[in-house]
Order: sequence, then structure tokens, then C-alpha cells
Amino acid sequence: MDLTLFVQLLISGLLLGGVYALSSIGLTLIFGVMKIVNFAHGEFLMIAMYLSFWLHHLLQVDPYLSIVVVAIALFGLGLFTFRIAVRPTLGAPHLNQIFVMVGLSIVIENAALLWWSADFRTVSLDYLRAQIVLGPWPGLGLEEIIVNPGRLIAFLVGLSISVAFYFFLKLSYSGKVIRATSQDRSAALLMGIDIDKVYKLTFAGGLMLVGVAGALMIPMFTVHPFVGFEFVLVMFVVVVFGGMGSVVGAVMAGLFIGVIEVFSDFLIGPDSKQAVYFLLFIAVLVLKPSGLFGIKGEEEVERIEAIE
Amino acid sequence: MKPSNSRRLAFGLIAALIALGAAPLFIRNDFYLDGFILVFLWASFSGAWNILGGYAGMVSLGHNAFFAIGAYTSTLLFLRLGVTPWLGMFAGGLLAAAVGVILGIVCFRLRSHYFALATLAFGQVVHILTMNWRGLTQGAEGIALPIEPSLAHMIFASKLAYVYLGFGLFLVVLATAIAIERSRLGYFLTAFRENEDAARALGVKTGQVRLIAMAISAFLSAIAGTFYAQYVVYIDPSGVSRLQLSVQVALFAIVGGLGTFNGPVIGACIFVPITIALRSYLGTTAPGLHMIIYGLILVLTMLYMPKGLYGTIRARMKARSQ
Amino acid sequence: MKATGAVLTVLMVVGIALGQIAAADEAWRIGTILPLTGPQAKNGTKNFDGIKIATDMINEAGGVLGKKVVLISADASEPQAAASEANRLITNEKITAIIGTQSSSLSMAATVVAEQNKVFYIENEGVSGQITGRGFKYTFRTTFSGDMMAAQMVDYAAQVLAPKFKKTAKELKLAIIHEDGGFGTSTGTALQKHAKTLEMNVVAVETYSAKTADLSGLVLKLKQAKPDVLLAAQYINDAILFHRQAAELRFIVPVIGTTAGQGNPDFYNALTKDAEGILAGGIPAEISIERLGAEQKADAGDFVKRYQASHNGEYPNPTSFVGFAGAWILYKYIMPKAGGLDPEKLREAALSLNIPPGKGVLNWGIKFSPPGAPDAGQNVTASAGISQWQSGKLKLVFPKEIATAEAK
Repeated sequence: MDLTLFVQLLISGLLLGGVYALSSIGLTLIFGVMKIVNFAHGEFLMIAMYLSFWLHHLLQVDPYLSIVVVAIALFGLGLFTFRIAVRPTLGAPHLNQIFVMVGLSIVIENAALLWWSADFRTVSLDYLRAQIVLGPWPGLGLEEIIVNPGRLIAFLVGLSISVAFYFFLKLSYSGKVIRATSQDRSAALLMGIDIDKVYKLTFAGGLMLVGVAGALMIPMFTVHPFVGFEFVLVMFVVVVFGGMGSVVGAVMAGLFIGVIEVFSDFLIGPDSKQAVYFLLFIAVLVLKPSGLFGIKGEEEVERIEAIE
Repeated sequence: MKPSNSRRLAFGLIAALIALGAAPLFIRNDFYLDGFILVFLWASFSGAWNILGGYAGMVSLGHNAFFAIGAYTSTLLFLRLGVTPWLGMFAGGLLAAAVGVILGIVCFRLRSHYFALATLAFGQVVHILTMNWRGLTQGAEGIALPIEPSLAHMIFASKLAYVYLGFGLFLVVLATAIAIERSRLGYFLTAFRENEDAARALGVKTGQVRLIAMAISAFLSAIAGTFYAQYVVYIDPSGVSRLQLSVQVALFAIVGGLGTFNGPVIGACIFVPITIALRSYLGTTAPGLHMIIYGLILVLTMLYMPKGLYGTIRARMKARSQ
Repeated sequence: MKATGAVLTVLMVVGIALGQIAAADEAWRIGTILPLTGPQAKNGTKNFDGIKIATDMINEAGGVLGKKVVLISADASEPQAAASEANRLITNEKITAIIGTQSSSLSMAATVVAEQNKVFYIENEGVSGQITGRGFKYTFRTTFSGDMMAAQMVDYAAQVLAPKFKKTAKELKLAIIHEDGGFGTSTGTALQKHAKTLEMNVVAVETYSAKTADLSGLVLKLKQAKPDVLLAAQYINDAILFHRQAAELRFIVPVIGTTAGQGNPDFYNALTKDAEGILAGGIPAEISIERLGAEQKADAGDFVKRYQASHNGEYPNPTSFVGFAGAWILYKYIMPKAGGLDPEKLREAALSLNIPPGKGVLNWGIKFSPPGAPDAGQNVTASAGISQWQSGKLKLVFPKEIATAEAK
């Protein structure tokens, strides 16, 4: 494999990974703070993509401009979903939590099918057709490297969000509150933290983040009622890989998975590339369950009791 | 439970089984017989899942893998080597059990969410295998079984025969489940499920015990897979290894009530007819509506009857008797 | 006064209702099984749309043999559901003729039930060779098989493209990609088989999942193999993704796709001028073919008009075309000859048809392989011509006998 090819695969992988990372940040937050496997996360991504699509289709709003609206809408949806489906199951056995979200995802998918039909919807932005070409740099032995603008934007936004979030969590009071709750719920309670509020805002915040992801992804990917399922599996892989609750981890893991996927695609074959990262997923779970950046021992934690 | 209650329950169970077994004889309608067959198939598969998921508390989302292993193994042995499915199903079962044990050895150290995710990934890997190992499975095109009814082929011209084949499978799974519940294995599994550390402290070999449960669970799931293959006489990845199968089989057990053999049966008896009815009556007028209702039932059950139907009813009965 | 009014209204309503029931008794009841939910829902609903329009058209023309057609439909998103629904239609609804199933795996399961119950079954879209390869007596596929389409695609490469590269067919380097579902796999396997028969040089064969978010690795892999021509069996979503990424990564070769992907109007909408010159095998979208009989042209035109009326002016999806065609063949040719819906008579009628290409529906003929043939029940005159996007329109360019434009 020559250098150009290698670099091209790497760049393509990183850009794909950026998309994965962006869509998984919300999930890891929810996972880390509330210890809930949000199986319906992919469906909220789908809702966000549809929202952005309809804003473009009906009101000619550019998807990149629709980010704010979609983010707010998803935040509200998150508050609502928390109230009716998540809070009641916080004390329940894990599998009840899992299956409430599974049931929710079935409802959301099919509601989308009923209202918006099974047609594939795309947003085609002409300005994204422009190619970004790096090089050639004959001195380095590199020919042209091509960068997809849509993915680059998603990558940069994802990176910015995670940087912002990292500092938010580390430096701000709210961030510390969230981290405290995530690390030791009982102690946080004792310190007077309103756990219910933390959970509510975290869940809604997680959905808000996936809303941003959806708006950034619709210019590149088609949306249809069952697209959520296709993304949610990768998102889980990314989240576990990166360590539950670690935003930085999710980003690193997303990039890593993207690169692995593209290289597997090329070296082994597109049919088996998913199998590669699923197997890696199992390996990570077994060998280093806390992921690359998670806190060791977290995966052993038993169920949390109800808030009341 | 008081002895008279337990005897009452036993009678009730036997009566229900007799009714269930005799009813198909009076039903000439193929549609309803098909319903019975599916109830038995799902009650068996779900009951098999429950041995690991309910008794041992290890919720697996990868059981589609075992179902697929069963379906493909017996079918391939039948088509390529002429081995009768009656034997082929045991081969499938043993293979599934072996794979399950390996999966257990690798993943049992993980708890709840993580175990669920690991098994999910495993199930997906097997699904990808069935799609892409085309030399073996013919990929998404699937494998058609030749329709030559005979006992040796385990293919029958009459639906009634399939009903009783399914009923037989169901009884086997039921008997296995009851036997486990009453045995030391069952006590150990319950001990593990209720308090893992205490169980270990008391000397229960939790690892071994769970592997046995996994092996039995995988074995029976594979047999259910063979039954599917013989009934539909066509297998393909979308039919036998898709993720929704794993979700469904866990769902029936959970909604029915985990941890006892009744749960999966109740779950199957409720959900299979509901699914068929909803799809038949609403499937075309408002596509998606029947699935929405299905999903809502699941959500509402999880929210308001977290112990599942059987668990909730039993709790209420207990409360009333006090 | 009010009471009388109420009573009259009730009587009227009851009368109308009874009239409907009476009318229903007087209608032909034909079952349909399609994936209206689940991952195949998009194609399933489009296929169903085609069948519905065919039904409307025939009913407005007076029905079949004077009686209207009523569709009793079923939804099935996985094989066992298809079998169960077939059961229900046959047992509860007393259906004796079914049209289905869009997807080969659904078809494989449903046709078993139909065959066991001696119910007439029209497969209008599923392409797997296995559907007609089981020697079933009551299953008839109206559309082309994956094999037929693949043969056309390879022949085009060998006969039309090779000379453009100044190579012989055997020297031409082919790459084949296909999605890993039933459609892709059947077609991909057939493509390889046919290429082998012609002793062509296949430099790469790749499979991928149609649901993938990224195909850049695949594109780079193909680029390395340096094929002259690419044969692709894709769906619309992945076809668009592939072509976009291929263009981005500078992998430009002539592509012969299929109407499921490259030949779909959405493909042109997504890629606009980048779609020019791309080829697709399957349903020729171009229907105003001079060689078509006047009636066929009119029927097809009517279908397009009705579709556009109910779909915001969109040109019909190829899936809708085959859905329409399957039903149309049943309504206009098989049922009249059979005199009704008796499966034995339908079967005999179907086998007796011998309508030349261009005189059936679309630009197909109607001639089913007889029992005993390896593809018994296959409509061998359902041609899967190769079309090409030229100036925003799909023009039929191959085979020459029915072409409407020159290949570019």
C-alpha cells in the first residue's frame, strides 16, 4: 500500500469517526451519569435528522442553521421522555430500563413510518459538493488527498463540542455536580445535590447533543424510519470503547472506530468490517471494560436505587 | 407457598397443559393452528432463554445466534449429508451449547448492561457470518428445504403434526425448566441472581453453575431453531439470526415474568396472538400502527408491571392472602 | 318529522352498507403480501402502490369479466410472518390468488404455503432464482429473474463497452459489487456466473451492507484493482452514497447498475449531472417505445399519470412499475383466460400464454416456463434491458432490438 493510499484511508476514517463520535457524545453522557443504556438513542438521532430535513424541505432552512432549533427541540423532547419513561424506571432492575427504551424505540420508529412514510429523505447542499483537496506534496511522496466537506464540518463541530464539554465538566460548578453524581450517587445526595435535576438535565442534554449531530448529519446521510437502528449499534461500541461517561473517550473511540472501519473495509472487505469492530468491542469489554478513558470498576456497579 | 396452594397450582398447570394439548384437535382452521405452532415455538425459545436470563439473571441479547446455529446446522446436515433433522438438531444443540459456553467463559465476568451489550455484539457477529459466509449459508438468499413430507425428514403435510411437534418441544423445555427450578442447580442459580457475593461466599461455584445454565439455554434455543427450519422450510439471516429475535425472546420472558417457567409461557401466549392479530387487522390500513401498539404495550408493562404479568399477579395474590 | 328523517337515514345507511356487502360478494378477491413495515417498507409500499393503481385502472374499465377486483392485503416484514399471513389469507379470507412479495426471502416463505394449498401466486418483484427453481406448480414470476438481469448487464459490458475500450470481451476487466441482501446476493452471484461463462476477467468482487454509512474503503479498494467497468447491484441509498464517494475519491469508471439503484429517479435527483451516462439494467423507465403496441403504450402512460397524480408529480419508482406489471398481467391476461380465480384454471391459463415482447405490459411479453423446466413459472420474455441516463432521462440502449437511443 503506498503512502497516499494509507493517508487517504486514514483521513477518510478519521472523518467518518468524527461523525460517530459526534453522535455518541450524548449517549456516553447519559450512560455515564445515569447508568442507563439508552437503546432509543438512535431513534432520537433519526428524529433530529427528520426535523432538520423538514425545516429544509418546507422552510428552506439550511441544516447548519437549523442546529439551534433542532437542539432545543430535542432538549424538550428529552425532558418529556425523562418524565414519562426514564424516571419511573430508575430504581427498577436494569433489564426493565433496557426494555422500556427498546419499547420506546419501537414506538418511535413506527410512528415515523406512519407519519413520514418509509421514503428515504435526503438534503442535497450544492456547496457541499465542492471538494477539498490537500496536496499533492511530491516532496513527501503524497499525491492528492481528498477531504469530504460535510464530514469535515461534522468532525470539527464534534471536536469543538467535546472540548467545550470537557472544560465544562472540569471547571464549571454544574460540571462538577454532574461528575460527582456520576462517580458516587449516594455521596452526591449527601452533599445536597438534587439528583433528580441532574438526571433530568443530563438526559435532556444527551438528547440535545444527538440533535446537533442529526442536523449535521442530514446533509450527508439519508434518513428513513429505521436509520436509528443502523447507527445505534456503532454508538454503543464507541461509548463502551471510550469509557462510559467520558466525552473525550467517546471522541477518541469514535475516531478509532472510524479508522478501523475504513481500514477493515479496504483490507478485509466491506462485508466483514462491522464484525471486526464488534469483535473488538467484546475484547474491550472483557479485557478493559472501563474503556480507554473510563473509571475502573464502573462496569461492576450494581443497579441504582430509586430517587424517592 | 402453602402445600395446598402448590398442589392447586400443579393441578392447574396440568389441566392447562391438557387443554392446550387437546384444543388443536378440535380446530380445523389452519390459521389458528399456525397460531398454536408459533405460540409453542416462542414459548419454547423464550423458555430456553429464561433459563439463563431469568434463573441466572444474565440477560442475553444474543440468543439469535443460538437459534441460527440450530437452524443452519440441522438444515445443512440434512441437505448436504442426508442426516435426518431428528439427529441434526442434536448436533445443532451441542454446537450451540459449546459456543454458548465459550461466550460464557469470556463474558460472564461482566454484569447486566455490559453483559447484555457483549451478547448483543456476539449475536450481531453471528448474524454477519450468516449473511456473508455464503459458501456455507448462501447468505441472504437463504436455504430452501425440499418439501418432501416424511417422518424421517421431519417435514409434514398437515399442520396438526407440526402443532404436536411444537407441543412436544414446548413440553421438553417446560420439563427442563421445572426440573432446574427444583434442583440444586436451580437453587444455586437463584442464589447467584439474588446476591452474587453472598453466593460465592457460601461456596457456590457460580461460574460453573452459570455455564451449565448457558449450555442448556443455548442447546434448547438451537432446537427451537431447527423446529423453525422444519416448519417454514426456508431459512435465511432475516428469519433466524436478526437482532429482533433476541429482543423478542427476552421481551416475552420479561413481560410474562422472569424467574419462573410460567413467565415465558404467559408472555408467548399473550404476545404471539396479539402480534398476529394486530398485524392482520392493522398491518395494511396504517402501516406501523400495529408495531406502535406493540411497543406501547411493552413500555407500559415495563413501567407499571415491572415484575412482569406473572410476577405482578403472584405478588397481588400474596398481598391478598395476608 | 325528525324521527322519520332519522329512520330514513338509518335505512339509507343500512341499505348502502348492505349494498357494499352485496357488491363485495360480487367482486374478485385477490390477496397481496408485501412488506409495508420494517426495513423493506419503502419498496414494499411502492410495490403496493403499483398494484393498487393497476386495480383502479382495471376496475374503472369495468373490472375483470364484468366484476370488480378487491384487494385483501397483508403486511409481512419477515419470512415467517409472510408464511403466516399467506395462511391467514388462504384459510380465513378464502383467497385463491395472491400477488406478492417484493422481497425474495418473504416470497420463499409465502410461496411454500401457497403451493401446499394449491393457491395461485404471482411473484412480481423478487429476483432470486430459488423462487422458480423449486418446481412449484402454482408460483409464477412475472418479472425478470436476477439471472436474466445479470446476463443483460454482462452482455452489455461484453458487447458494447469492450469495443469502446478497444478490448475483446475476455480482456475487459470487470469489477462486481453488490449489497449483501437477497437482491444483491442473487444478482451478484448471477453476474459472476455469467461473466465466467463468457470467460471475462473479473478483477474484484465485493459485498457490503446496504445500511453502511461509509463506502470509502470499498471505493479505494476498487480503485486499486483498476477495473475497466463496474457492475453493481445496489439499492438507491447505497448507490447514491457509493457514487458520491467514488466521485470524491476520483474513482470514475463506467458503471452498469440496476433500476433498484442507479435507475431509480431519486438517483438522478441526488446526483443530477453526475448521473449522466450511468447505466442501469432492469425495468426500462422509458416507456414510449415505438415498438410497443399502442395498447401497452397507453396502459403504461395511464399508469404513469395516475402515479404522478398521487405522488406529487414524481415519476414512478421502478418497484411500482413491476408491482403494476404483475397485477396487470393477472387482470388482463391470466384471469380472463381462466374465467375466474380457480387456481387450476389460472395455472393452465398462465402456462398457455404466449405473448411476444412489447405486446404484454411495459415492454415485456408473457410466456412462462413450463413445468419441468429448471425455472418453471418464470416469465422468460420479461426483458431487463439496459438503460442510460441521457439529459436527465433514462433511455433504453440495449438490447439493440428494442433500444430507443444510442449508448454513449
